[in-house]
Amino acid sequence: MSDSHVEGDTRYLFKRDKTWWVKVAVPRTLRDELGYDLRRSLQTHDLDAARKTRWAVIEEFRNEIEKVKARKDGDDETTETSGGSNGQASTGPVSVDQHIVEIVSDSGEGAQKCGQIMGLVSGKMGNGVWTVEIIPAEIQPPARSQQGASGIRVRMGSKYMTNMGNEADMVVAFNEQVLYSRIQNGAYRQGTVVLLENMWAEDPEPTVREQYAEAVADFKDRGLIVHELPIQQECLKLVPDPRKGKNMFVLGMLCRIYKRDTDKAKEEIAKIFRKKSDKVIKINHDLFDAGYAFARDNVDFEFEIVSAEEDRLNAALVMNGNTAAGLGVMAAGMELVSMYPITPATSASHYLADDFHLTGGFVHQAEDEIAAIGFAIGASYAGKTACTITSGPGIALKTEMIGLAVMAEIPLVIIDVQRGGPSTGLPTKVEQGDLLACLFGATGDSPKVVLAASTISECFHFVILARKLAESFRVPVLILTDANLATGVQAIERPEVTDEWFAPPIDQSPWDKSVPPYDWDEKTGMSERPIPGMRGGEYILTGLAHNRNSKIAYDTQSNQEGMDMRSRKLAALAATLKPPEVYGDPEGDLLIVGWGSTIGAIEEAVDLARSEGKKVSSLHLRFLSPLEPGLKEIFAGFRKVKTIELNYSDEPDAPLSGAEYRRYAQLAYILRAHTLMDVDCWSKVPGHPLSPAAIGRVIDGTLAQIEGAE
Amino acid sequence: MDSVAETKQADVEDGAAVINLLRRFHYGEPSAAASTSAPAGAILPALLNPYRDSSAIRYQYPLCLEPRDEGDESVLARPLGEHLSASIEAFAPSAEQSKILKDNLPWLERYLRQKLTGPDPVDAPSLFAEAADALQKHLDLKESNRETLAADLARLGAAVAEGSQYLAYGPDVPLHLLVHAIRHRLAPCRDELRRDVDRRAAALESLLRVEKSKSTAGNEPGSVSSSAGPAARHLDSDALSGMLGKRSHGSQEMTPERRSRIEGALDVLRSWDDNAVLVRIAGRVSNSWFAEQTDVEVVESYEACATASEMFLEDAERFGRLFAAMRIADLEIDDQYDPPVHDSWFASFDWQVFSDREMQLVSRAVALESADYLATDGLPTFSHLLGSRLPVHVLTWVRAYDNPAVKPGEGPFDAYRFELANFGIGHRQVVVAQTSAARHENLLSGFLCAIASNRTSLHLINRGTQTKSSEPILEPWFVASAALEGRAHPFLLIDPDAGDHAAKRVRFDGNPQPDEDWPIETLEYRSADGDETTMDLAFTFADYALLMPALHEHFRMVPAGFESDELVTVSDYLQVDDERLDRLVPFVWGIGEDGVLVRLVVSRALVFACRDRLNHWHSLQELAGIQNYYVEEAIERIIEEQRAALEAEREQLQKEHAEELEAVRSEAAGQAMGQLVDVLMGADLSGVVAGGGQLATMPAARPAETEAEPEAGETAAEAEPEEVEEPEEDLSFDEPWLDTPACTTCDDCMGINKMMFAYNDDKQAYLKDPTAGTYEDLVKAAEICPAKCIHPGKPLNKNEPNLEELMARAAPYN
Amino acid sequence: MFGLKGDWSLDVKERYFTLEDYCGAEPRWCTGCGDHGILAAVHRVCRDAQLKPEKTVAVSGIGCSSRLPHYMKTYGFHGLHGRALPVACGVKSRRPDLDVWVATGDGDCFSIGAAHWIHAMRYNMDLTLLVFDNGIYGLTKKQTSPTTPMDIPTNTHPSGALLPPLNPLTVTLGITNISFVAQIVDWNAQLRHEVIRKAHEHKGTSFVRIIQRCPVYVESIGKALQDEPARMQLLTHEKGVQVDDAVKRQFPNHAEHDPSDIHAARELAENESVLPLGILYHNPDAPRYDLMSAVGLDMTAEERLAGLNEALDHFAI
Repeated sequence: MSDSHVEGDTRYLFKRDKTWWVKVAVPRTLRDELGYDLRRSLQTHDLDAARKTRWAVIEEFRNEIEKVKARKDGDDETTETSGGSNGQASTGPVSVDQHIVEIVSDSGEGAQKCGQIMGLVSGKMGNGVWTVEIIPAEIQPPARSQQGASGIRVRMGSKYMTNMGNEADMVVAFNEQVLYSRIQNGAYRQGTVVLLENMWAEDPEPTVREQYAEAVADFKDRGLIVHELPIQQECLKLVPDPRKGKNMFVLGMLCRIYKRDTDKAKEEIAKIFRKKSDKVIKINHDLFDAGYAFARDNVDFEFEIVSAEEDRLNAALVMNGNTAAGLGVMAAGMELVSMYPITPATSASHYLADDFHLTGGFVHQAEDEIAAIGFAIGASYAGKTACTITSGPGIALKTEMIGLAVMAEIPLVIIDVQRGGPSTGLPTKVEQGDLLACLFGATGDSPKVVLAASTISECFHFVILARKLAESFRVPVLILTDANLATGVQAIERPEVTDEWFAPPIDQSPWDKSVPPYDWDEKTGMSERPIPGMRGGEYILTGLAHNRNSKIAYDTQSNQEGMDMRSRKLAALAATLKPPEVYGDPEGDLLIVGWGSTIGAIEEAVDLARSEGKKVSSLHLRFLSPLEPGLKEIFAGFRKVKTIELNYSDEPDAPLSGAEYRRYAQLAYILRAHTLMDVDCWSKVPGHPLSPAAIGRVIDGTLAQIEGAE
Repeated sequence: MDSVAETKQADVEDGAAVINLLRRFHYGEPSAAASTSAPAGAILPALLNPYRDSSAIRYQYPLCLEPRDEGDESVLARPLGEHLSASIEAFAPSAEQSKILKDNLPWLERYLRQKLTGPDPVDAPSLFAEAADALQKHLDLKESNRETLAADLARLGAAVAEGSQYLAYGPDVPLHLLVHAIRHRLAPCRDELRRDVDRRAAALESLLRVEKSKSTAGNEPGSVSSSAGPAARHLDSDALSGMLGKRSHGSQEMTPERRSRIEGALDVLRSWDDNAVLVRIAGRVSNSWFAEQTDVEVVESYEACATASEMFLEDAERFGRLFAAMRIADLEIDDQYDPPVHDSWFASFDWQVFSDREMQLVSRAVALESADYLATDGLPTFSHLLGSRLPVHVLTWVRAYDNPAVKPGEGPFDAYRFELANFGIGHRQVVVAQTSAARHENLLSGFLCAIASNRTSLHLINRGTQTKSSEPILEPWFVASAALEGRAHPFLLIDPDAGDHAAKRVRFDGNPQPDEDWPIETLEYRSADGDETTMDLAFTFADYALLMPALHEHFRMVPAGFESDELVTVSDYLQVDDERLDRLVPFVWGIGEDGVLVRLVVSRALVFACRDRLNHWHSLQELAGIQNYYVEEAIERIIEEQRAALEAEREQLQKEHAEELEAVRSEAAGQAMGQLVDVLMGADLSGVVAGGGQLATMPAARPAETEAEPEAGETAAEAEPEEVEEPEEDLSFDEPWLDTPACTTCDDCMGINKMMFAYNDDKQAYLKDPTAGTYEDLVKAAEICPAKCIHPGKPLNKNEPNLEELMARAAPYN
Repeated sequence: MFGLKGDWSLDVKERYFTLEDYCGAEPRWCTGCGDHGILAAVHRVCRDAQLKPEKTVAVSGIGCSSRLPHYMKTYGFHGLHGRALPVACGVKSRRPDLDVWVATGDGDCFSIGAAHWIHAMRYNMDLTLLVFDNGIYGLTKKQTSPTTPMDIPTNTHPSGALLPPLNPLTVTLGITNISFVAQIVDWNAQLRHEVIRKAHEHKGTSFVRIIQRCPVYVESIGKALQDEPARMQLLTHEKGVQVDDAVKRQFPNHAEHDPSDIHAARELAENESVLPLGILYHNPDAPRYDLMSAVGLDMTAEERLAGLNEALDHFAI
């Protein structure tokens, strides 16, 4: 675990009643012996006191853990049973149900490519897979800088993977410095195996040599198991500049260590370089083979992750969420995506630029975010419901146009791939911070439909749903995804596509002149729209207040009616929604409520908690506007309801905060307003996805509070 | 090069006997026929002798049939030799390039010719490859040369397009070329049709999809949820469906009639099966090749014309259903179908109303019938077909020397010939093509013209095959060519689409020396004393007839060396039209196998036939505007008239000249007389001077002056307008008016007085009623008008207050 | 008989349109406003071209000019300030069968919508773009617009604009891939009609700057020009617009100008002492984005479904 002694934090601490406790998690392999974690009261109500005194206790706990571990490892050497992820000598592969590997490097060294292929190959071998990219904020950070870590995490498992998991079991580092940013993120645990490039030990630069030596020592202190490998040296045998190509060597190593299918790996390599010459492909294949051979001869441990037939997805596809969204656009029969480049949304358009023609579609790269949505609105108005894909700052710019679409009731699909905000914020990193902006961003009352995709297949399916809702309710539909879904590669079940999903060909039948262009149904506010080309349906759409005939009308009554009708459509949609399903028992101590990409981590944490007999359930929302029905009833079944979100909220005990002034996480805001219940929240903006362990700690902490409350 | 036989000196008194004998034969006396010798052995018309051995001769056949390519359809077939050399020129223009190949091209060509013996097309690329190998073996060159040759052969081979075929000369050449031409023209249209049909079907389907999507069916729960995809599990589709159903429907649903009409049309379009047949031949086709083609259908028939008509109607009905469906689709796609109008129209939809393009798509019906049958028992059916407008191609083989209407037992010259071509022309709206297998360009242009025209067409084709002879002396190709030369079977193409007058409809090209009665060729030979000389010979119908062994009884050999000024060539004979004719004996030149020039006297019957063919030829020439008697007469007349007119004019001028002279003389005389009188009256001489002044006013002189004045006047008048160019500013109006075209529709004048001003159909203002308001209104309007197009003129109502001021304001706008 | 029926059968339902078929609500523009005339010209061009009203779309932004769609009896889109062009391009992108008109003004196009102006010109989709340039913000009551002359006081610059006005012609003529640039004044009916007709006939984005009188706020601009015809120059050329002598007399100052010559056009635009009237530039062959954006329109549902499956195959295990 990361261990930089930052003051002011509450790591390892939790409050039961008023007293502060310390808690250290036990490595998975030792939980039989030691339980899920070691905890003890610090017998103080004062946080600062607790902060000071905790370290002694933590040390004590750690030593205890080490002892048990040492003994246990001893057993392992004699009896070769599971888990030996400590990299000690072992003959033949060790079978594990899941493993997390990270590859970190300076940016530009291709660690991500390496990991993506690793993920694809694992997926194609039938494993469950989840990858998370580790992206430095800048495009070209200085080499060997702690913040410059660029890389990827690949979680491979025998079962379906829904999230990035906890600490990594193994990490390949191209230099020692980049490991630090990961360590600070708590990405590793004691016993995480580090395969470290050792070229720096002989670096001409003395300071580099020192840094390297210190770091290696420090890593060992932290309980990391470091293997220093001459990766550079090996690559130099094949290529003059291993900066390019080292990643393929590493891929070869990993494919050996994890017994991956080398043919599949080589296919993927060939695919990546398909636009380059065969020579390039050859070199990379050679590097791959070299890495494989090197691992075979020099690394003395192997793992095997086997997926049982029943756990394999039938006819699975492997892709990330942006690609899935792009395919969703095609599957929805939409013909136009109008966009402006913005991270992390752009790759969806990259994909469409490659394949959209297969369904007769076109990607328009507009001159700016406003033009992008304007273009889409034009096409939608003309009968070809279109889609625009963007991210937070783009949404901000599109707000006025979204308002127009609401006001003039133009069907439209908007995908917001959320990144860290406000302003340009964290361009490459995940956050769930756009919810309120999407709900309330536009001026006046602008009721619209907002969905949140929580998995990669939902990124695909929700676009189809969104198109249908947009046209049925004559309203813009926003789909929220995030940087985690956007870049996370996962194996998903192949959808049974049908042309019923497609938008029907545009209606050019004559229009009954007696039916006005906004013939609002009193009960639902819904109406059918005339499409240019329909004879007799001619009308002038306007963003000004208008009556049923689309005539500008500033009078009180018309304005009130228009507002009522547009709002009523949401009520109507809400009335068609089914209540959400509770994950776990419908009653209990704690209900965790989440939305979006956190579903995997939350449910894994809940599983674990429940396996430990804790009365925890979770609820994941897909519809955020309108909200799914029956929330009050569901919430009533629990002693506490808490949202877990990847966005900002005040700590309950933050200075000058406290119950009255506390600013809640975004979903919590809505739920409190919606249910008038005391919905609590726990949210963070770490820039990376939440791990089940982190959520587990929240659950425990909260349960402790609940108990303490008695 | 032939040598004349040694002429033995014959007795003079024999001479009379010989010529009489020959004359008696000519007049058809049997005994004379018996006692004179008919042409023996392989005797040929003198001019054709060089073609005895055709293997050495490079003629148009075999052909290389080009496969269909969308781009250029101009060349359907080219002579093998031409194709080869052209292809080489393409990649080796200069003489040095590909020398080996060029030098051995003739060998290559001969090899191909020898291989190409069968009557049917042969796959060209494979045969060429074979020939190329053979050439390599034959030459057996050293390594480097072998390779260069191989390379060149490869390049030449590349020019032999995939799918191209070689076709040797044979009895079925015309039919093969017809099929080839039809494939070229129809196949692309059929592919396009397929696309059109599918495109329309797709359009109709999407109409129905739209209908479904907005119908109650489209809103029922099942389709609501299935159209929302798996994520619809979050929705209660019944609820949603209920709400969608509640909306009012602006988009109007189809009437059941329209729906069923669309479904009907869609059904036809979707079930359309383009059975690949392009050509359907009725008749007796012995060659099984045609029946084996997937795109050709052969139906045996002894009434080919009737059968072909039925086949067309049958196919037209099949296509008619499709075309109607396509047209209905077109109307429905942009919602233009108007039942009152269209229902009845489509009810009566048949081939008669096919558009030209539609007509083109129907399979081609071909009637293959014998000329004899057409000209005799088949005549009524044949004639009915020619009048029917059915686009059926009638193909028939014509024996050029023969009379198709001949009765059994009759000879070809016992009756004047039934001219099928004229019979066709008699039906006016028929494409008539009299062509020869020996000239593939003419053959094809006849076929293409017929295919393009959608009319009934009649193809009279001569193939040069000598049915009656056991082993022909000449290749059929040469015989057919001879038929052209001998005017036995002239080219003729009548294209009724080309225009309303023969001058436009008739194509006559391809005939040798079309301006002559008979083509004149030069014969080279060696005279008795061995030096080379030449003589110009006309190639007449009689010369052609000599090729037909069946007609040999119409010829008798003139004894070698016999001379008589009563022996004249047939061509000379036909030009004589006085009493000498009875004494003359016509002959043609022939050459025997021994290469000796001989003369052959021809029978009177044959000479009549010659004259008959010549008359026919003349009538064709006139159709084609060549040596047209009327034209020549007209030219004569006009020249004559011109000459007369010029003459008259000259006389007129002379006359006027004379009169003028006369006038001047009389004036001069008058003056002289006057002076004389005064002098004699003895007036003082001063008077003479004054008198001289008076003289000046003699009337005779006046005309000259009086003419001069007006002239001056005129020139002044002409000069004037050039200077006087007054701008309209000067013009001013009393009547108010509005320069409507200049109005910018600013609405200002309307604001002032809607009764006075109004808009026209272009929404430009005009003065509706100047009295409908005050003069002040007009002035105000004029002032405010941005286009300055309102002119108030003078006030109509003189009593209106402060007019002075108003008129002052109005002034700038008047 | 003789295939005649075949031809007339398709035309029987031809419709005929009169001006009324294009006239929507009664215009609410001030009397004397140049917009009335422009509207009339648009109506006439629609009528002369016999456009199907249901296939015609008038798109606008915000401003006096942008009221135009409401006065049309076609489909219309009265959207956001400055955003007419992206919407219009979007309409055209997948509906090549629609005839799209854009009405915008000096504020709407040259100021808040400047980015779209530049790029829409470059896309060169088949639109007729009419810029009603009255040199003032009218709807918001007399604020300085990009084309307001310096000497004219406005509510935002009481002592006249601080900067010299923007020259829309030089800007437009500087954009890559433009295909039609013209300038007219609203108060000459024939020239106005001829240029707008040509603009509509042109396949591509036809930019027509119409110098338009606002008698309420800046009467002086129009007046000055009307009083001094010499300040305008009528462009004549066989490839340009053909007008009769009446027009030539109203604009005595003529210049022969070949609209295919971009450099000459730029020179004319540069010279701000005289306003060129007529077609400055015309290139019928410039690449058209609407032809590119319409790819795949003809695909059937079956083909799309097949394409979708092919796309999914790219990710199959």
